Amino acid sequence: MTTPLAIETFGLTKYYGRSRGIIDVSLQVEKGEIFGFLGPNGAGKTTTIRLLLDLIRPTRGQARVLGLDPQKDGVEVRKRVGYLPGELALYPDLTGRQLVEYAAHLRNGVPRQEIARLADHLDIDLNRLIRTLSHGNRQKIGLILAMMHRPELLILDEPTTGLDPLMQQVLYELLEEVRREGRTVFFSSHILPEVERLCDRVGILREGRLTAVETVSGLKARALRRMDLIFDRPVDPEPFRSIPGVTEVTASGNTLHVAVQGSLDPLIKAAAQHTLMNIVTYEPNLEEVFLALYREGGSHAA
Amino acid sequence: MLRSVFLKTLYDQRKAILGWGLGLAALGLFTVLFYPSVKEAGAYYDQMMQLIPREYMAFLGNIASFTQIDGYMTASLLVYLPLVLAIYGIGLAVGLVTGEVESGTMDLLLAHPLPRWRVVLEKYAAMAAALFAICLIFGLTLLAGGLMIRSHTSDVSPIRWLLAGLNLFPLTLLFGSVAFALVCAVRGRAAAVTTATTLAVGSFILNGMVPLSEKLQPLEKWTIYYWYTASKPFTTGIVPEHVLILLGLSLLCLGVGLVGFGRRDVIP
Repeated sequence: MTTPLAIETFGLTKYYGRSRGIIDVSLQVEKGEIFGFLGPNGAGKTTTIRLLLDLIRPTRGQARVLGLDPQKDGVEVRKRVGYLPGELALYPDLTGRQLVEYAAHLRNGVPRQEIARLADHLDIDLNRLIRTLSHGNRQKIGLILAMMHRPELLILDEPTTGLDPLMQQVLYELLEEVRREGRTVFFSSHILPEVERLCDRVGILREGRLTAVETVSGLKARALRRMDLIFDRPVDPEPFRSIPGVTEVTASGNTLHVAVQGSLDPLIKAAAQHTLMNIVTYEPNLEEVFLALYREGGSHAA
Repeated sequence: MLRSVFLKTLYDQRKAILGWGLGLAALGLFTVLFYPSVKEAGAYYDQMMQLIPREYMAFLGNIASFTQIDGYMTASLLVYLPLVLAIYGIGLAVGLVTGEVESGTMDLLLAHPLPRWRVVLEKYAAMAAALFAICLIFGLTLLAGGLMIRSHTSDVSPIRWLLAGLNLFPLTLLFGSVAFALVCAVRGRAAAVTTATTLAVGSFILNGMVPLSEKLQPLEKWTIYYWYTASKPFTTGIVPEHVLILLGLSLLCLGVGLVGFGRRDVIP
């Protein structure tokens, strides 16, 4: 028997009346990975997450969370999942501690030392009334609520919103620790450096459809790589334009500025026909990849 | 205190329960303590009542005599009090469900390993407990007032004062339950507030008007409010069947709420 996936969806579709939520999203998230869920605002990231937690019901399709049906086995799913909503709302008239203890009761008990450990890591005073806390501090309480029962799967909707850079780092460390323990993280984000740092794989959602699922390194390989080829004398740029994968070539003096996607081999072989003095490559920019993916889907739709 | 949805809800309502309980209690005590002077003035009040148009009497509970404790308490307070307390009940029902959904805290609650039916059930139970607590505070205050004027009401057993207060509970619970069912089943608050308020006010008016017209007579037992006003706590007593009808309808509303909330999308 194979180990069930952390998350699996088949043709998951949600319409709100006539307006589109998500369409035919089929996704697999392996246990033990950090999966980034990306897409522009309104792409359907939150809809997908809310379907996984059975807050809303699919129009068509199915979801499996830790091998279970969120609709039928919702209690068991939510026992084993930690969730941080995108627009976190907490009871303003409770203190952080009252809220955390209330949530612990609803979970039939949570180890106190885990609450204390998270509060300490996140540097949050749980004795203050929630209404007096800043957005970032409320977010920290939301993270404690999501993580305190050491769930097998963490579903976080834009978790770093409102956290200062220091706390973002703390959260990254906590999430990396979750992965080291073999637990799974599924999170949506807008912040590319954090996606690049944390994620094993990413899924990209555009206008309700899943347009790509790939490893971060695979995406980088797909990225447009910019490089400068410096020769001992000016070189005719024309033959380079027809090399597979090369999308841009401009010449200035002894240098050719090229942009290439995919394998570098044909380009390097062509360059080697001349006396090559130096090659300067620039790190592929993940942002460009995402922007291209966001747009690609759009051109299909249009 | 915050060990369950039920207890958390009651904890949130503690000030409201105390506020409404003491508010109604003050009104009740004030009314009870005036009874001796009304009784002493006797004939004056009954003569005055003859001058009041029948249509107006309809809204004072169609009482027979203002100087008997039953007529006095009904006309001066008890007949309209369920409408007043319904304001709290309906508002509470809407807040417990729509309020939490719209503020987004329902997301947080439903992310915990609780079946939805349990969240609905615990919230409903808390609403019922809050209404009952208010009625109890009110009833106990009537009882205290009754004991203070005992020499003027020697024919009234003290328990009847308490029952007069508790009798508010089934009807206000029903109004709250109608609102509760609708906020569970339907998104937003407009349908629930409009329906429950219309039902409360409409049944009060209809019940008052029944004696005025023969055409309305057949409706008497179906005005909802009748199941409240037909109980005479100070004379013939509470009609148990009416209490059961009101509680039964309330439970039916709870059923609608359980099914409705279980099926719907929770969208802030």
